[in-house]
Amino acid sequence: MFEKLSKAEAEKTVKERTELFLDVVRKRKKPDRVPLVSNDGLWKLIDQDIKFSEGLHDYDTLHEAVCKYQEMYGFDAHADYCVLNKVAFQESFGKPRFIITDEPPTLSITDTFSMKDEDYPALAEKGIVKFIFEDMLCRHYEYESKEEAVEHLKKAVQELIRYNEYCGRIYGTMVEEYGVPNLCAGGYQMPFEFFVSGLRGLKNTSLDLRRHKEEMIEAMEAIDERLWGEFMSYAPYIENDGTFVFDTYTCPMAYTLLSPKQFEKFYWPWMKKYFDFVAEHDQTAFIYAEGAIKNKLEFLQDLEDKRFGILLEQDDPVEIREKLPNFTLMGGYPTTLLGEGTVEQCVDKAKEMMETVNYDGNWIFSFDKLASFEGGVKRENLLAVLDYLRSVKL
Amino acid sequence: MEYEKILNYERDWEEIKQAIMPEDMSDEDKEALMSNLIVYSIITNT
Amino acid sequence: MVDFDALAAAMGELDEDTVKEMLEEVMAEGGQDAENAMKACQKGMDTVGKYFEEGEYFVGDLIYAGELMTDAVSILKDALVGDGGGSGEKTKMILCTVKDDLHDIGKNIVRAMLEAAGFEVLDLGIDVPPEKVVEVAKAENIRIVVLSGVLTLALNSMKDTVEALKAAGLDCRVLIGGAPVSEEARVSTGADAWAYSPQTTVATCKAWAAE
Repeated sequence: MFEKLSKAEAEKTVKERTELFLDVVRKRKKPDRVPLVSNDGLWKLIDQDIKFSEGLHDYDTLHEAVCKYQEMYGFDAHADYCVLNKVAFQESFGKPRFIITDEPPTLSITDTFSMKDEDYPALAEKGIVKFIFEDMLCRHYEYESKEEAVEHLKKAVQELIRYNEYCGRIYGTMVEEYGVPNLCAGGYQMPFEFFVSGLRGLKNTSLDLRRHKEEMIEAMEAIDERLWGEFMSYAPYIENDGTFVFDTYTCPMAYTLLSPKQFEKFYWPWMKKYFDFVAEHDQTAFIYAEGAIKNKLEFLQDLEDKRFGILLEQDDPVEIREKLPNFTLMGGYPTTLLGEGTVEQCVDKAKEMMETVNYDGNWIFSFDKLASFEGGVKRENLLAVLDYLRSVKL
Repeated sequence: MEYEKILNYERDWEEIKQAIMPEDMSDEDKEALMSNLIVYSIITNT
Repeated sequence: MVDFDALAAAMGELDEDTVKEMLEEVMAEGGQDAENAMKACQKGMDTVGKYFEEGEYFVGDLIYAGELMTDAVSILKDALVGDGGGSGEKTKMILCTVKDDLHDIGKNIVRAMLEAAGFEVLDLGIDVPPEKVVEVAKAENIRIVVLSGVLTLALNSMKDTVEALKAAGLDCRVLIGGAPVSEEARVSTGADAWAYSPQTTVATCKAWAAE
């Protein structure tokens, strides 16, 4: 068990952990051991027999679940504290997008996308906030009057405040009571992501890539005024006080639609801008690469060494280590083996990865796919792998 | 239903912001929260 | 008179305007060339599949191709023989996203390509329990079943579906497709084949249909 720490112990431990990570990412020296990061989504709840319908609506339950999870497994950092899906917040608008089942425990997103083809000029002209306020909000949620909109916005803002409070609380608890640094201090999102995660959806975005090329670019410039503006309000001033690993992160997901040519036109200009910023300010950043990034590696290969990390979902970690030596690899340990294998098979895989991906100490352990379902990970397997990795002195 | 005619930014933003935000919040925080509220109402991956 | 090689090329290049213009021309000329036009579109979809295998096209292009093919069938349908193209009986097959998985984009891409290849696809939708697959397979005398899923969770449902088909005594070939599949997954689910690309799915199903 990895119990709560005293204030002094937590301060010491969080700094030790941050230094361990920075030894790896900055390639300062071979780290003493492999840093361990959890990437298990909502499996934290399943592991503790907490129903999704309960946990995802009760921040006290979530907070306790994350703490108990840390006490059980003793990770050095977590990719998520169950903050990815703002379930209660989304429901307060009156048209829920999440479908939650408890038997089996699943969380799915069902979405309708209310932006039409002909809306592109309005988005480019108005900017994302005004466009959503005037053109999307009432249309999407079918509010038939201003009063109805205000009634829901009032509930929604309370839920957003509660969500923000939970985020602040859990980040603080992890640092101050468990000595666990946050994975990053902030993030930047590529404007292309907005098309898939709210405005047009996968299908319409795919069609727009050929039917509305230039309009998409103009719309992204407008969206980026907000995204980059927000990022610039704090990112240049980030100073690592020993409570977080990477300065910032980006989570590309929609890029998985794109061929390399399309990526070059619709995604890379903004991503490069972000990477250039990171390099100019001597910061560190990590990419949480959902899906597979293999066909876009050429774009990343010339980025500066000793500052970027990448968490893989579908790509082969051995191949990525070879092709992206300038990146610190995070992840790649197969979640399915943790769910279906024996203890011996799981530990053997960890030993194998120590040879195939951690030969130079430039690996941070984490899983590949999120384990947010029943049977996704067997507790004894995960404990065995973590115990083994902690025991290996590099 | 012409949904796009229900809310007008210039006419309604400030009024709605003041109506729904906690009173003890600074103007700057209210504006930031309102902006996030509207964007997150539609965009899920933030 | 439409140049069918040019039509196939336009479909392969996902030139929507040219494809639709040519198909409208076929219909304006009376529709007697509808079957040839359909074959040209199918040839174009083969090119799409080839470009995908080569890395030139990616997921967004397949989604676009699926929509374009669906539109092509829609333009030609009144002039096509039977239910959607090609003379002779089509092989019926089942396609679905398995239980507890709601993703349908990949399934829809594959459906368009299977239909373009001449199959009659019974698309059972998403979140489909094993018993539904068994019920339809029995009722329609199905020999080919394609199961789709994106979540790792889907592998459990795929296994349950394969086992349910076997338990029902049905002589079906099952292919599993989607993000989580692999040879290991094929073995653990008991499926006959697995595919990550729609092109492989179509080729495998065509080989099975020819047996």
